[in-house]
Amino acid sequence: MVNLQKEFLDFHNEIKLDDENKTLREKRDILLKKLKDNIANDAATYTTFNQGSYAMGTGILPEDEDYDIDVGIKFDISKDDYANPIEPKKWVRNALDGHTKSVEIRRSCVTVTYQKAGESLYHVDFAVYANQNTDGNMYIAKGKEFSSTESKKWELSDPQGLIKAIKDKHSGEEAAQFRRVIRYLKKWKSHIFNSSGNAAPTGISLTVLAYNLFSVNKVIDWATGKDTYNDFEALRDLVKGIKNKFSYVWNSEDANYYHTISEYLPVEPYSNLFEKMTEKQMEGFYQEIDTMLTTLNEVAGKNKRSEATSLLVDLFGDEFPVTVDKSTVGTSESA
Amino acid sequence: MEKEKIDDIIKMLNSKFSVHFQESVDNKNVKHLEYRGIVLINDNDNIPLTISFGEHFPLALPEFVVENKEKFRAHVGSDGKICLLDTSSILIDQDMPEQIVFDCYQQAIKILNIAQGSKEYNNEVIREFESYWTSVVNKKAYSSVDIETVSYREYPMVCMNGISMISETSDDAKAILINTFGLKQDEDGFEKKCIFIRIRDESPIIPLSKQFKWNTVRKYIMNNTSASVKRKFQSFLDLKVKNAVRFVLLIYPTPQGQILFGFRLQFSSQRYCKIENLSNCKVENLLIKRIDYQYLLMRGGGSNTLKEKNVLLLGGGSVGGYIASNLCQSGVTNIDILDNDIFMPDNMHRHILGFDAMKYSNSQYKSDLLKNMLESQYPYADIDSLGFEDRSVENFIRRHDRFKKYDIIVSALGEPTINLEINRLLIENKIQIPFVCCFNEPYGIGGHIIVTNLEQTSCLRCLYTDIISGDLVPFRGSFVMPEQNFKKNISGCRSAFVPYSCLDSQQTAIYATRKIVEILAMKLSKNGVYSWLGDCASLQANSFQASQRYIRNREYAYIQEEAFANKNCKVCKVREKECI
Repeated sequence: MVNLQKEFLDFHNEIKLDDENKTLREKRDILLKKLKDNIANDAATYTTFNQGSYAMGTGILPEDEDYDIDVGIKFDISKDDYANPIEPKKWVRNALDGHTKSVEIRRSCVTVTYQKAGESLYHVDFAVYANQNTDGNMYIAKGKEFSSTESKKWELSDPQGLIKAIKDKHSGEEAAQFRRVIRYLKKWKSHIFNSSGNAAPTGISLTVLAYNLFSVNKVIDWATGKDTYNDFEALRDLVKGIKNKFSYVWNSEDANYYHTISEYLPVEPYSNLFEKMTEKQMEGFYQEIDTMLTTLNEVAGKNKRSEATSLLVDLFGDEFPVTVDKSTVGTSESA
Repeated sequence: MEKEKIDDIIKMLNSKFSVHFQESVDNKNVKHLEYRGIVLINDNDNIPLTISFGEHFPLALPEFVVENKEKFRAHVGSDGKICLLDTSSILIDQDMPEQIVFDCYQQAIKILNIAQGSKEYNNEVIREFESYWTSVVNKKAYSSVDIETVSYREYPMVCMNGISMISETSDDAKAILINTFGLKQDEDGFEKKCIFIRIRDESPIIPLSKQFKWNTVRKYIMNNTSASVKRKFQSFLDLKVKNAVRFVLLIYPTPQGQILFGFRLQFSSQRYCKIENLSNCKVENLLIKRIDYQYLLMRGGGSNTLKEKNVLLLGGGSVGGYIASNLCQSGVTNIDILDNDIFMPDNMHRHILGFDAMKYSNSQYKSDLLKNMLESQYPYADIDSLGFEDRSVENFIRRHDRFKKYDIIVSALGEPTINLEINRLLIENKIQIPFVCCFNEPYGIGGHIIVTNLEQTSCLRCLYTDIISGDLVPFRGSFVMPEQNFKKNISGCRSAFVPYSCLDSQQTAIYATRKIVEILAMKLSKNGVYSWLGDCASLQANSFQASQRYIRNREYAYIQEEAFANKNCKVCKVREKECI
């Protein structure tokens, strides 16, 4: 085993995307301004908040600069006054239509694609909420413009509760390791599933798995009196935990065994985050997790830095630094 | 102090103690003010006493001198001066000059009241014996004999160039005269016989005299020795001699240690006659200067338990040289020093060897020069400079059984690679000999003494193993941040050196010696890292960085750490496997 903490931290610096990211903030602010300037006078008042991974501090840089920005719009309305949840979605759509490259009402959000002259394309997903409900809860507007009535609905949702839950789970340096490990998992997901063709688990499902299964890996250093964090072992333990989370179930329809997994949102609506995955897709996820764990175990057995980091490049992509071994270390000793 | 003031003090003294001291009329010492008076001792003895004030009074105490010098009194020197107080162990309040005189007067009277032949007298004489004896001796001899267990025994005395040396054998005596006193091998010498006789416990000390009679000495010995000693002494007395010189040395046991003093006896007779009956015997008092290990060590605050210990010292450089010297002074005399380095003039200001070390030696190896220096400084030092093969540590450790003859292995190499190899060899071959590594850090920021192999729960490699992996890392207790190059290079690689001062080396060596002595005396049983912290200003002024460990401990002068076991340590893992 070699100490890969420096490599992991360098890797993390390469891949992290956080709320402080300037590009992201600028892009989001352009569209929020457009929304403010152009929203119809008869639309309800609203406030906005950041949601998604960058709000939780678990965002990673998109490949090909394809930023995925999540913004929540809380309209000061009661869902009971708007039987059709598409109406507030249209306020958003109409405000931005003609001012952006394209605007599309999708099931859970209004997706705006924008391109500033000379810059790359990006999109912002606006999730629309009713925030003045008699029960005090928040509801998300679900459904497309021309969906059937039953798929147009207000659904109980607590996006800010989720952000708070993730953020409050750990604190200080431990929280930083927690967020780093989530980012490693997400980077692995985008690297592996792009090439394998398997259906990828969502970012939020990996985040919630980590929320439930991650434990801090650190040792106190007698010399400095400070904690020394071991991201590699924290990740390996988490991957082990995810693998163990799978059940092996018999599917009578296609007469096959599958590894399946369930994980539930820790806040409203407490839904199963893997409900949209087929058993076959879950099996694909399982196989990738298993391969990852095998690779990580192999890394743990390596005594050469170059070999260990090469294996990690296979898992995470070229952003993971390949470092070389040194046969000497400096010393300050003399007598 | 002005004369008027001292006159006043004497007036106060006279009135307070009902005595009549007045200024001496025949004072010849212009720098002293003297006052004479008569004091009544033991209710019946009127003794003339002089109080003498030197020019430094009250910084220095006044002197009290007895005029009747012929009579031996406890705490009274041959010049009649009363030994009042041990000024090295008191603090004088100069603002109370009259009280100083009163206190001294009372102390003088108390001393003079000690009755000759009383137990108190005996005790006081014993305490001051050497100074009394020095004042009444005619001859001097050195003795290297360990008298601890001697009750009655004859030893040779070798006299060369006016120096007399008594040792276990005449060869030993000659060796000391040549090695320590610098006498030439071919110097003419002669040999005499000395009898060491132990006086029985709690016997009175022989009444002191400038001129003893053989009869007095003989009777004192017969009356104050055990039966077996008496028998042996009797056979000495039965010897028939004509003209002969003999030395008789008495070992007088006291709770503080043994007093050794003696007599030179010169018998003259026309015909052979038993020693006992010889009346024509010239007795001369003999001062014995003890240079036996036990005595020297006790005087130096050392420990006797260290005499038989064997130390392997790897590296006789800046730190190692001082360690070797400190160990000798502490009583560790068997030291093997391995170093293949040559002593160069540019080492001089960091090394215990001075420039003159090279003058008298054919060899330029540091270990040989250290051997020469230490053996001439300390008569009992037995230094082996391990001059075989190429003197390299690499060659020496190829045969790890060589370690087994030592009680401790000390590395002052400053080479962690070799130290770690020794650590591996010791553990893999189950050689449980304490291993001490010591070294300086650059720019006076500190030094470390690492004690391992006292217990089997951690080892040196633990300190060089990354905390979360098995990676080899620089010493984890270092006071400087890793990956900085401290080597200074003035004129090429061969002259590259790490900047630290002689004081750093000495501090590391002192701290290391303390730990080594504790280990040898079985007072230390745990592995530990012992560090001293210096100033970091010089380090920082040279644009280097101190480590977290230094920064968080900088308020301390010394720190220690015992819990440094590292679960990733590959050497400890080998040991664990073997245990299973």
